[in-house]
Amino acid sequence: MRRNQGCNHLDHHLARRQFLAGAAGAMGLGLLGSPATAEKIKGQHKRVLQIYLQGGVSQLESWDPKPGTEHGGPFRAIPTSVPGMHISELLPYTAKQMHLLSIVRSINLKTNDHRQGRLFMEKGRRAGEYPYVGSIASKYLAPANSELPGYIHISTRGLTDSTSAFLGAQHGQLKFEGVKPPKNLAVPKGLDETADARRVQLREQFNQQFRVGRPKSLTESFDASFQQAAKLMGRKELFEKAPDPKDLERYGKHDFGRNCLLARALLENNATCVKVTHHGYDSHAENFNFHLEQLGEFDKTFAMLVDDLHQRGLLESTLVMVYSEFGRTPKINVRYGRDHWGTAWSIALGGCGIQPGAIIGTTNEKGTAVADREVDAGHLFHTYLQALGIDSTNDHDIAGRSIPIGDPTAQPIKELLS
Amino acid sequence: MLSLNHNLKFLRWYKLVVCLTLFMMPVLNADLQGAEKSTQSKQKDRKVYFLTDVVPVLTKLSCNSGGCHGKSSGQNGFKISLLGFDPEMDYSAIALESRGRRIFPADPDQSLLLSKAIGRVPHGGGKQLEYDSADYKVLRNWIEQGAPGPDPDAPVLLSISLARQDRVLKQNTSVKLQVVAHFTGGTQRDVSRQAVYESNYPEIANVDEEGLVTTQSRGGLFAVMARFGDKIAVFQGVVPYQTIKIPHEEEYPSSQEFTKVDRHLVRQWKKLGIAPSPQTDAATFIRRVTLDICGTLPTADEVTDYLADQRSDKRRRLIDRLLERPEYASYFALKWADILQNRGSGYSTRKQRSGTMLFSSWIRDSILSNKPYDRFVSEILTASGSQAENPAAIWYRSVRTTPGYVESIAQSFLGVRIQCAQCHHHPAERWSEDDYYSFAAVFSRVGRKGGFADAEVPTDEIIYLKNEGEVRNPRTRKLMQPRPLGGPDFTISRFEDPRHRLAKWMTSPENPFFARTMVNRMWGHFFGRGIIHPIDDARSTNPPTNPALIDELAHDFAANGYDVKGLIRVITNSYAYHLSSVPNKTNTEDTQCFARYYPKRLSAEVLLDGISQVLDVPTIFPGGPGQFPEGMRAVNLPDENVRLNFLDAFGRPSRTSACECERTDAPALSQALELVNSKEIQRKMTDQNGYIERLGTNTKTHSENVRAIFLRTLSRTPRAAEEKIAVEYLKAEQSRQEGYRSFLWALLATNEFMMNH
Repeated sequence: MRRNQGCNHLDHHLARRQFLAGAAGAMGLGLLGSPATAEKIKGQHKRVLQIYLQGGVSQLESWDPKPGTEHGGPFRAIPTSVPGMHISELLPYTAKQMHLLSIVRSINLKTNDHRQGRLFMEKGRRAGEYPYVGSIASKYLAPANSELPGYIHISTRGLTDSTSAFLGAQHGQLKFEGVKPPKNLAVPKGLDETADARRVQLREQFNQQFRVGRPKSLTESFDASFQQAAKLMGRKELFEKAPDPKDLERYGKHDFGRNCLLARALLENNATCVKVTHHGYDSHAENFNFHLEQLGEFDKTFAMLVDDLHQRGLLESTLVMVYSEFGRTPKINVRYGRDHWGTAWSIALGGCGIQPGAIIGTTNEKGTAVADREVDAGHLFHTYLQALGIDSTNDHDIAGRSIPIGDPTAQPIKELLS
Repeated sequence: MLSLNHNLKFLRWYKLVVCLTLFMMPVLNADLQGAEKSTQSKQKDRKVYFLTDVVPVLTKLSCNSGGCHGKSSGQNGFKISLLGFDPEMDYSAIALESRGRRIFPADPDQSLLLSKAIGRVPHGGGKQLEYDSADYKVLRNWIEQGAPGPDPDAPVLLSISLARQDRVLKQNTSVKLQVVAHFTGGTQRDVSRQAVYESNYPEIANVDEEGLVTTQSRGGLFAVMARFGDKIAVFQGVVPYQTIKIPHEEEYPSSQEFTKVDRHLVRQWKKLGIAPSPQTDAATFIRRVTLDICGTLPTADEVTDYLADQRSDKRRRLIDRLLERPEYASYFALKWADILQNRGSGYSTRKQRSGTMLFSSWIRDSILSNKPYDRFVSEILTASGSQAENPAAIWYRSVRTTPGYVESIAQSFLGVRIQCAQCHHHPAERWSEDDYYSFAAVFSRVGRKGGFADAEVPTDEIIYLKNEGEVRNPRTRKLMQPRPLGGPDFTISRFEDPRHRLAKWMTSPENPFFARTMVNRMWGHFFGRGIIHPIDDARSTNPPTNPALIDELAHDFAANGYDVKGLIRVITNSYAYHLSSVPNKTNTEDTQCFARYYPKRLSAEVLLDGISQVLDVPTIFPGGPGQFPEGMRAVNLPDENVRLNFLDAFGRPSRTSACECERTDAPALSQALELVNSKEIQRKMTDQNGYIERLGTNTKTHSENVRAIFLRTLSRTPRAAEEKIAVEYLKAEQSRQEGYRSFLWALLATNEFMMNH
């Protein structure tokens, strides 16, 4: 699909084949978060939690409110657990967790295009075939004997990204359609699990010959899907247990709440990068009602998730990112909407390697431009990776080719790294 | 205000100083000085034209891009046409709207158009333009000259051309493109700075906004598009691969070995510094060509006979034999049923399915009888009458709307994706809204009657020619004359069906797209990649990787009366089609030039049928007994509305568009899970009448069985090491049946089995 400059309807509509389309209704998620487990996990490998607010969350209704100004909109700013830090009143629960998080308020992407913005935020590059943060995490952080695929994306919609570029298929994003388990996860009747393991091993032996002299990229992706299948089959209890009613009460019974509970369970079970997409922020009309509703879902769930990770001692080793492809225009349009705006907007982040309670950069009084400490997705990309202890100024060494991990013309936001 | 005046004064003063300094420099090149002077005075004197000077600046600065003022709702009350394809509208927006407040001829620098762009007045899009830059001056001079609108007497842009013809570039080098615009009246002008550039392969070579092309650290073919106004020019570059050694002449096939079409490939390989892989062995070849022509695995007997055949022309004979088999027709009928969107969703009962059955049979019969391709297409395009009596008319059942006709036909038969032009001029192409709606006008009188009104997709409609029917360009309200893409207006009486004229034009030699699209599609089928890729996306900005090759194939295809089997013979008998899929030291990175065979995963239906064939257990399709004949292969399913998770997991298309890209072959977790755990595979593995059961009870040695299994599955004999592993595994297993079951499963799940290589 890449480099398809033809403007094909199909590109807009065709969901790539849903390999995880499951028929069963929402299944539960395992809760292995007893303190004992948490103790065990603590100090183990670094991981990433990405909350992607798809469509572009409004910075003015979230991390950079400007109440009482020309474009400020109807909502107030409220104090947070960090003295002097104010965020939108639409995020009351999150406000109480801000001492664990930081805000970057001075992002200028110089693009107002969904796709370009998203790819820039994920790859830290404006163009070209580069891996996403999640694939890099999978490649460099996932333990060799990891029981779960390295990069899992929980989303309720169809688009599948090609995320691993030259890092290889096993680091590509594995997409879950909500909390539904994939089809065919259980071994069929008449086949015992040891027989299955033996034949998978046998397959591996007969695969050798075909590999000789061929590029790895040709064969490894099929092999990776067999490995992922085996891993998931081994952890199918993650999908089978109904969620704890108390947890569901705290997180919310909506899809986003359930998806975040699954994310928590996956992280507790040593997944390396888990991305949860919350859809529907592209509020060209009725921006304020939309954000009231959307952030109403996001706020409590996200705050509970951050709190849980903190309580379980996981936050120290988990980088938390809340981001979009861009923000929304200060100017309110005739339909009470805000449009695409990559020029001056915000993200929140925290956890592993990130100085908590910080605010980086400012926008001007009306929010129409970055006033101080302008950064773009290239800087953020370096920051994420260095927070995780990955030297982003280093090169990927791929079959003799050296490819800079982060854009060499950008640097991390040093003051944000702890 | 004050500070601005101050600035201006300062600038003038500064210029004076610079001029004086220059004047005093003794070593100054006199020629250069002269040239600068003359361009400077020219800039002042030259009349600035809205169409060819002002609009290109707006385009270059992205003012009229889709993310800014060019989108359909404009931006902050200022709306101009997307990429400047409607200059009248742009002029009115800039010079007339808002009481003309955007320009101020009395003091051009105070014009909102300029003060916003340089960021002196708050601008949502930020600073886009430097004060007093060349672009700034163009806009200012235009305003100073009274902001003249699009002028009927102004020179018209005829074409643009690239001065640079050099096409082979080393890795990590740069070349500056020079774009020259040619106008009516014979004038021309260097527009390199105003042109907009885009590379189709930034990993091989990228291009900056000044037109500086820089190759990267890898080889391959790339194209850079330069656009100025509504004209496009394309620079095609070849970057040789950096290989350890330059291939010797003897690594290329001799001219006795290669066919007419191979010449073009060999020339390109030499340019790129790559040598082709060696010819593949006989066993791999029979599997490859049987899968590619018939969509089936060769049987063990076929492989044995072929390996024993000593005749020198056995490959050609095999190809001829395969083309006569009914499986050939079935396999290509499946391909065409996808493209022609023979869609079954909406048909729940057997009675209603008759339509898709009829259409797929009609396609199959057409292919079986090797109906010339031009006739095949004409019969579909002009189909009229009852769908039951003329199955070709069933195409008009799945495709029901004017945009549907236009887009499907353009994509299927002309290889053009014209969707964008429904709403705006194609950003990187020649197609305009008028092209789109003139083409739509060809179908303005397609009428339908009969059928049952309530059903989503009726099955017994009659397609007929209505007396009336018109299409207007929705923006200009202009009544459109029927005209095919890139063809002449039709002048026809009301008694004539415009579709007949379309069919005639489509299949005539003047049509530059028709034969090319088909040969490219077929090339893509056999080589896994089109000469134009994606195969149905021909654009001047997506040029063929080997223009001479596609031209020759297309020319011969038309000259030979659109003989499809003949075309397949040309492709499959070529030297290139026989190359091994294992790369050599020089061509590992090649993915564009066919210097080796590119392996492809078996498509969903072929893979399922292959597994059924090996295990000798046919698939049971849902729908109850009597619906589909027992033992039917998945390739022969009439439509996509037959539920089978295996086919969906492995990328069966839903037939909602004419794009072959709907069928996917990307690996996915669900495919592994399907093979490992699905009931259907488990049933095939345990069927009491199946091959595995027979292996479990026969009296042959493990060695004999293993050899037979390899032939049947991978179409080759096992290597000694493989045979040893297999026999030892089988010996160690307690149950003979279970042993064979695991062994067969392991082979069927290998990459080697799942791919055609």
